[in-house]
Amino acid sequence: MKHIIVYRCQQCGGRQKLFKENWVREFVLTCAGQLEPIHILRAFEDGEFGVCLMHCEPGACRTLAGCQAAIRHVKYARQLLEEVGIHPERVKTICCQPAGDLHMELNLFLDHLKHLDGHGSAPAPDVSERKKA
Amino acid sequence: MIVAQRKPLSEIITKMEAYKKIIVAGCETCVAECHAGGRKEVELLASQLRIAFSQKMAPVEIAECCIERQCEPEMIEPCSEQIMAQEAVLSIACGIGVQQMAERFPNLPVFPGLNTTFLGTHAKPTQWEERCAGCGNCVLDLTAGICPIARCSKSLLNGPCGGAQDGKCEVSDDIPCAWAEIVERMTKCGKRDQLRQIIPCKEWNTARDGGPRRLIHEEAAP
Repeated sequence: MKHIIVYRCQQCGGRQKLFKENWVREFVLTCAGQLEPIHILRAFEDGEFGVCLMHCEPGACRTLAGCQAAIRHVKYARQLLEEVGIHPERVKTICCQPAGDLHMELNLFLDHLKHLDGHGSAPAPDVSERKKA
Repeated sequence: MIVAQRKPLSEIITKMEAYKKIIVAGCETCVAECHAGGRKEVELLASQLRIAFSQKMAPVEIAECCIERQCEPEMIEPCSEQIMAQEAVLSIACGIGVQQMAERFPNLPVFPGLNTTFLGTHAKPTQWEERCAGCGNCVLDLTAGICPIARCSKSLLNGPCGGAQDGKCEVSDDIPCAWAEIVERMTKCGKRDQLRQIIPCKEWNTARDGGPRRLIHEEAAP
């Protein structure tokens, strides 16, 4: 089954896993800046559906420049993916805000990925669990 | 350092698609510094190739290795067994490393993954600039440590030319006039009078114009 790979900074929602859906594989990072482009590429090498990075607001990063580094790494990974014919919008960044709803954002991303699939490429993951919720 | 940049992926894929077992070989020295051929770039290029070939439904095994200095024959040896088990080598070292690999593995096709660009320095966080043309006859003592051969668009030995304006080269506003920089630095060093001396014509037979160059150090014999 294909998944959406979520890399999440622990400052955005804590160290415990937030997403229980079977179409999500979640990795909690001590800082979003730890995410390297290779981690994103490896996800697609494994045939995953999309990658989502959840990072702090600029200025709220506890390692100061971690979230800017993360955004740069994602931008670079998108370029590399585009070169091999994978739509760059299969990688999304979500800036975590106090009033934000991460579950809703992730579901919107899933819908967007399904929309991209409508224009070719891989099938959508099983979202039955989401429907139950 | 030797500065290089990666060839377009489409060009690399076209050259490699005839092979089923490929190794991507990086170099941990100059090209790693300019983010073109180090360990990270080996991983990224290998990953891109795996994705690209899997999309084409072409099963290709892609191995990875990174050599400390690909231009040194003895440093290739630790990876030689792994390399010899492949059908082709994609070297993302500079042109010297690629040729060293071709020499070491005469039966294996070796492909360059990079375009070797120039001898330069890391001038700004995201920018590398040419600093040396390897002319074999250094004049930096006469030009305040700024090379007019590499950094002046016309390689003038006595400048600036009439085209420079506001410290910028007439070729492009992005290029600082090397001779304006030389004058400024000589003024700061209190050696501006030295500019009155005409630098004589240069011996170019020490540069590429004299054919492939060779250097012999008898004292380095084991």
